[in-house]
This record gives sequence, structure tokens and C-alpha cells, in this order.
Amino acid sequence: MQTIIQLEHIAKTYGSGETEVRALADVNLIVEPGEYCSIMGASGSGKSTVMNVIGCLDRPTSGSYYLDGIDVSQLPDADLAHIRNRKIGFVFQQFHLLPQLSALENVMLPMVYAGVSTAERKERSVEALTRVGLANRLNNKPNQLSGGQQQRVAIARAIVNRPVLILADEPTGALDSQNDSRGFEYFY
Amino acid sequence: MDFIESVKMAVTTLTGNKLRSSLTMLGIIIGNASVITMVGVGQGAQQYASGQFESLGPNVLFVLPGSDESRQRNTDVPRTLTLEDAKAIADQVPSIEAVAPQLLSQRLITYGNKRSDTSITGSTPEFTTVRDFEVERGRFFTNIEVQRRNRVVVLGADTARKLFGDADPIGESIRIRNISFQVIGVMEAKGAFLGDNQDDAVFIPITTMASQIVGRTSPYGLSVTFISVTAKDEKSISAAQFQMTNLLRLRHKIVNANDFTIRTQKDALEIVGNVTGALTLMLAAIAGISLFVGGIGIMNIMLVSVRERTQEIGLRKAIGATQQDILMQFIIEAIILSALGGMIGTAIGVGGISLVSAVTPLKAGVSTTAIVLAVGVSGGIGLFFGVFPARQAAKLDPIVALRSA
Repeated sequence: MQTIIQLEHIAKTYGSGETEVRALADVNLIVEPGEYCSIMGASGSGKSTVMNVIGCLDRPTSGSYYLDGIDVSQLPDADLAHIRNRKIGFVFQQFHLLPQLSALENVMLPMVYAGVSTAERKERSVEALTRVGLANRLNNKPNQLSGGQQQRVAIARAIVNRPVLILADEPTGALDSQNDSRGFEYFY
Repeated sequence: MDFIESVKMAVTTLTGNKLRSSLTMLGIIIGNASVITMVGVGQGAQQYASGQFESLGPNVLFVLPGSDESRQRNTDVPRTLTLEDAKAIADQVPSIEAVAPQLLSQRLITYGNKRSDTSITGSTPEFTTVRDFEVERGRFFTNIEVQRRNRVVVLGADTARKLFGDADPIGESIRIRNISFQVIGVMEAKGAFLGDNQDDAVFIPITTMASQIVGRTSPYGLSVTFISVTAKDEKSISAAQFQMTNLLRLRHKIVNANDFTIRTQKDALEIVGNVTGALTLMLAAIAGISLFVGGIGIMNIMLVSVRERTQEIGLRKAIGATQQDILMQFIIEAIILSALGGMIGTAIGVGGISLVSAVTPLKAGVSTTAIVLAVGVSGGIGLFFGVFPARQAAKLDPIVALRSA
């Protein structure tokens, strides 16, 4: 079976010369399909940097990265956008919902860029929002939702394009303890 | 992502942040409206001024006493032109149609207890032809009345109203300098000439004027204020000018400088053209400055709004938008804002022009060039500063854009 994530000797440095910061050095990681993996560590240890590299939001300085069998470390920008769109679902720590769009429109956004038809987009978004328990909040703007609800919208947005990989940055940070365990259930 | 999707997305974003959208449009609207109004008013002023000179009569020339230099130096112009000169021009110059000598004065005229300080023109029957005046009621005076120095008067439209109200003045007597004159006609309203009301005037035979009102003669004969001449057609204007110059030099036995000046309507138009040209240039400069300032306004709001949206750009990229998708969205947004702002600005500008036309004598025209220029420049600025920074932002790695705030 194909590995989902395969990181080989990944390094990431910021800046150059005296101000050079080595955020990652020789990171190797393999994640199989269906696997559930947590990256833990002290603040400033490079967790987010690894996440960003895995999510194709950031490019490694050196090393190679195979996502679902594709070497993404050398891909041009437009192809990376395609990869992010089809293969990866993100749940950002600050959710990053677009404030002027409703919950439904926010969830529909990845499919807009995927070229899914309007009818299917809506159907799948409603389905995803229903799964995270927000069927009655479809037309609320983010500022009309609680932090937990906003995160669930972000989760719905991450799963709606049926990605092979879901990345969540500190996913439990904004949830109360009762919702903690449920937060993870949504990913399956 | 196809085009229709991009348009939908742009519309959603624009309506989602109405304050930002309307502020951006406001700059475009103000820039457009001010330029269009300003240029329209400038052109209106130019048209007004040239229209005024056309109202003097078609193909008209003026023979004025005194040389150009002496006219500029002295307030008291020598009385070198006479009624005989006018007659000679009428008899001997082939390129002319009609001649009307004019002798002007400002006097108090009375009817019963009503009075009016009015301009009095002494002339001949040709005056109506040469100066393009029409008689509305009654008649103008005849050559016989001029020969006999009859005390008859034709009233200007405003003077008639001032002295007689709605009553019929024809057959009544008015007094000028305590001499009684019989009203034989009323002129049609002619309007103002460069702010001078041509309808507050009375017209009497030039001979009567000379002998009984101003009592003015010169060594050469009955002197006149100036002579109006109509050329046969537009092409004979310069011929008429040349022939009249020769004739008058001969009559006045002139060896050196002329003691008279001949002005054509074209000369007058040129002088006014210079003035209004400068005026239009000034208005165009002001319009240019407002377009520039408006452009900076558009630039600022566009730059700020794109900067503010760097995070949004990062997020859109993170969930799968390509650089092209982002660029397309911002281009469409900028086009919608520029087009809408351009349309509203043009509408306001045209409205402003209509207002100016309605409340002032300036018939300000809508200039297509101004509209195209204003909408083009403001739209271009809006497009450039709406798209260029967005392009820069779209090039960033998504995580850099996301963290920018």
C-alpha cells in the first residue's frame, strides 16, 4: 500500500547568515493510510513548520517529500494549489474562516476551486455541516458562531473535498473538554 | 475555476464588505464626476462666448474710429468716422451687403412718471439686417424718416416692458432729453451680449440722434461711434476689409497710419477665444488635478484593502486556489468597482452639467472625450492598484500570506 506521507531528510531554515534559524533538520517521517498521528513537542520545537511543510503551505529548504506517492517538493505553484485542494484538508488553529461568507459558503469554498458543480457543492457542504452538528447554522456568518462552532465549520471545510490527509493545528485548543473527543470523531 | 464562478465570488466578496466597496467606489465616483462636470462647464463657457459673437450678426465687420494704438491709449477716441464714410462704403465697396452706422449714447428716457436710464442707438434702417435684429411689433424707421430727422423711436423688448408693462406702446410718446418721440415699434428680445443687456435699448434715426440728442459733429461731418458692415458672404470678409481700408484711406487722405480700425467678427472671436482657451486650460488643469487626487485616493484604498486581505489570499491559496484564481478574482472585483464607480460618477457629472445648464446661461455640454478619459484613467488606476498588490500577495507562499496579519 502507498504511503500517504513520506518525508526524507527535510530541513527548513529561515533567514541567512548570522540571523539564520534552523527550524527543521533532517526530519524523516512515514505515515500510512488510515493512520492517526500526533506531532507533539515544546513550543518553538518546529511542530507548525513540519505541519506547514506536510500541508504544502511552505517549501522545505532541502530534502524530499512524497505525498500520496507524488514528489511535491519540486512541484510548481499551480500544481501545489491543486494538491492542497484535492489531497489535503486543513483545520487551522485560528480557523481562518472568511468573515464575509456564511458557514455554508465557507465550506463550499474548496469545492469552488475544485470545479465541483453548484448543486453538488451545496449538497456536500450541507452534508458535511450536518456531520459536525451545524445543520441549523448554515447561513450564520463566522462572527455569529461560537469558537467551537467556528472550529466545526473549519473541520467541515477540511473534510468536504474528501482529502487523503487531514491536518489539524492544535485542534483541541478551542474546544471545551466535552467536545474534545467528538472533535476527533469528525475526522473519520 | 471558470469565469462565472470568479464573477460570483467577486460579487459575494464585494457585497460582503459594503463599506470597503463603497469607499473604493467613492474615490472613482468623485474623480469622474468632477472631471466630467469641469470639462463640460469649460466647454459651455467657450460655446457661450463664441455664441455671443455670432449673435452680433452673420459675417459682420466693425469700422471703428481711431487707430489701434490710439484706441488703446486714449479713452477719448478721435471722431474720424462720419456718416458720409458709411454712405461711401455702402455705395463703393462691392463685397458688402449692408452698412449701418451707429451713434451711441446713454440717456434718461421717460414715459409719464416711469423712467429708464437706457442706451440709445442712432442708426439707419439697415441696422436690423446688419446686426440681425428683428422687429416684433410695429416697424423699424425708414430712410425717409432718417432724412427728415423724424422723432420716432423703436423700443428694445426690456425697455418697452419697463415703461409700458403689458400695454401696447405703439403710437404713444416717450421723452428723451425732454424731447418727445413717437413709438413706432418694439424689437424682439435679443438677449445679453457679454453681460450687456441688448434689450434695454432704444433705436432712433441717426440724424435725429446727432442733431437733437448728442449734438455732435466733427470737421468732416456727422461723426459716428462706429460703423457695422455685413459682408456678402463669409468668403468676402477679408475682401471687404481690404476694400474698406483703401476707400477710407483715400477719403481721409491718409499717407501713414490709419485713423480707423476695422475689426472682423473673427478678430473678436480670436480675442475671446484666447481668453476662453485659457479658461478651458485652467479648468482642464483643475480637472487633471482632481483626477490625479482621485487616482491617489483610489490607489490608497485599493492598496489598503488588498493589504488587509493578504490573509484571505493566503487562506484561499491554502484550500486550493491557484495564483490565477486569486488574480482573476481581484481583477474582476476591480473591474466591477471601476465600472460601477465610473457609471455613477458619470451620472453625477452629467447631472451636475444639467444643473449648471439649468441655473446659469452656460450651456455646458457633455464631453464624450472627458467621460472616456475620466473613466479610463480612474478605471486604469483602480485596476492597476487593485490587481498589482494582489498579484504580489498571490505569489507568496500560503503560510506567509496567512501569517501576515
